[in-house]
Amino acid sequence: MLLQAKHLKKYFQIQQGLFSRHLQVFAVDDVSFNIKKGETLGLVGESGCGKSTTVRLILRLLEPTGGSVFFDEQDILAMNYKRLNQMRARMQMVFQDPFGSLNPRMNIGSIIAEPLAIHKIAMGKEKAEKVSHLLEMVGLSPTCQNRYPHEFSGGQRQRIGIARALATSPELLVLDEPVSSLDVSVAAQIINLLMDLQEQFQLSYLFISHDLRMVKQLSHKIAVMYLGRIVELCPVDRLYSNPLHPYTRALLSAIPSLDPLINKTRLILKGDVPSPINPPPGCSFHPRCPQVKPECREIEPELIESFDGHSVACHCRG
Amino acid sequence: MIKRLFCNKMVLFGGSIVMIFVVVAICCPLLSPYDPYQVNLCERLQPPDKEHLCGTDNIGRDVLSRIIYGTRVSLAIGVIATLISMIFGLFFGVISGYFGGYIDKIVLCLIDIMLAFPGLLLAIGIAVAIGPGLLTLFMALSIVGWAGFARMVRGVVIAAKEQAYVEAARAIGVSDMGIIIRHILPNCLSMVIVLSTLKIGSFILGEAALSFLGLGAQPPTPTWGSMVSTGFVFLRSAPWISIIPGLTIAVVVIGFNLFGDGLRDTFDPKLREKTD
Repeated sequence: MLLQAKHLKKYFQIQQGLFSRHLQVFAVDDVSFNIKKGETLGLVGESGCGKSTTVRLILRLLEPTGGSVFFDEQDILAMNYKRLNQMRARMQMVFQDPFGSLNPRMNIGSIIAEPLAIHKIAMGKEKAEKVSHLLEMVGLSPTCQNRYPHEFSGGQRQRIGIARALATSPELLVLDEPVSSLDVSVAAQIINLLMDLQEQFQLSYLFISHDLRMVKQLSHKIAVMYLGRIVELCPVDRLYSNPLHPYTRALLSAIPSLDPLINKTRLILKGDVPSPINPPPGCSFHPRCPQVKPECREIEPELIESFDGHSVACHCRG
Repeated sequence: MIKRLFCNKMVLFGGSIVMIFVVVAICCPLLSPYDPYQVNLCERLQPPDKEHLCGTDNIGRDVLSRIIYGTRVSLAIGVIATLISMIFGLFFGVISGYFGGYIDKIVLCLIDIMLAFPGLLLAIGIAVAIGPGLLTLFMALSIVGWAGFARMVRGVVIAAKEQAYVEAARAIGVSDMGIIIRHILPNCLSMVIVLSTLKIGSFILGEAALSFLGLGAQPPTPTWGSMVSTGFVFLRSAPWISIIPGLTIAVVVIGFNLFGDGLRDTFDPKLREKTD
């Protein structure tokens, strides 16, 4: 097992009003999952459900309120900063916004060389060669090293971000909506690039998206998040053929179809996502659930794994 | 960027004024027609004429020569006091903005205390406490000036800290020091340059005020402020002694302010869009 996240929690404290009423935002609440070597876990859910917070907890860019993260059997959260920074060579991240995640005042060569220098992987001439090699690997010309981020398009910048993440030859790559700000054809190119790289280097991915079609392309397993919790976690084909959680069903029914003759019945959910400041008691999905039962309003369903590796947190399961 | 700098009229105009004074400061001995320290009691209180372009003062020293030599003192004080306050301001601003928490609260409190004093009054107080002199000028002006720098740098650092590329650097494994030096400081630089040019102007003004009050450079060192002050008594009979150095101060300060404003307009992309 390469990565294990156990009962991760992140509550943000916020102050409201003049006499500071302390409130908590339950951004991530009891999230657990595993990723094996060479495997991709897709994390899907709508905006604000805690996907990005979850990956930041795993990389310890945010300190969790509770829970634990094991990378290659080592406890990430127990490490001191020196040890953690060394560990970061093995787990890298590609960011959502290709415009903001590259320092506008550094040229491409030094952006990609930065991780090489920090982890003392390559120096001098060897470093320059490695940078050229990385640029070629992601399909960019090695001659563009002296150019600055603003001279590149969104898709090219995302490739630069991927090259930077690959520089330390990581085992785990966390992809935080890497294609959501790109148009469809460019996004498809990036997805293909990621698939090639995975095959070549046996990379493990934690892939975040809100686009279920993209996730299907790339993932082996999928976790569906709703309001800071995982509601369903299973192998990709099972999720698409036999979704068990009502929220997953509603999400899948929202995928637009290419064939206009297929008459899909869309499950349209009522209302909005409740506020994570004051989540509803019981199952957090119950105010919008079409199959709500009395116990849903009181008892929080646990994520229970069935014999075929299909986990779901719902009282109506089965 | 450089092209755009040259297209900005304020930068061009302010920059030329600043350049002229810098050249004057460097080439004092070549440019000044007389020795600025030469007392000539026969020619005291001469109005401007062919011999003395700006007239002479109450002990017959050539006003133009003294203004030319005064440029050195004024610019040196403006630049050095700005540098000192910039270094302190950057240091405190960066640690306060980057680390936040209690460090931020303490530094912010310190800044607020400094800014709560009227600047010149504090400088006068410091100058009185440690006795007049050139060193006093540097110290008094820097002690007054660093807080403004620190506050601005803190704001810029807080904004820069939240950028995605800083988070990306953390994810790579860059240390706090590395993030500050390589990612945050370069992105504060344009703001610091702009504020520095504006500060030089206000420090020159502060130097003039302190020298006018007799707390700055001591006679016979020629400084613009002390020249205004000595001519003050003769304002009715020989107004050139005060007015000409006073005008010089005004021109230099306007030059630096225009230059700084122009730099800010060219560096700040949001303002740039409006002017385009």
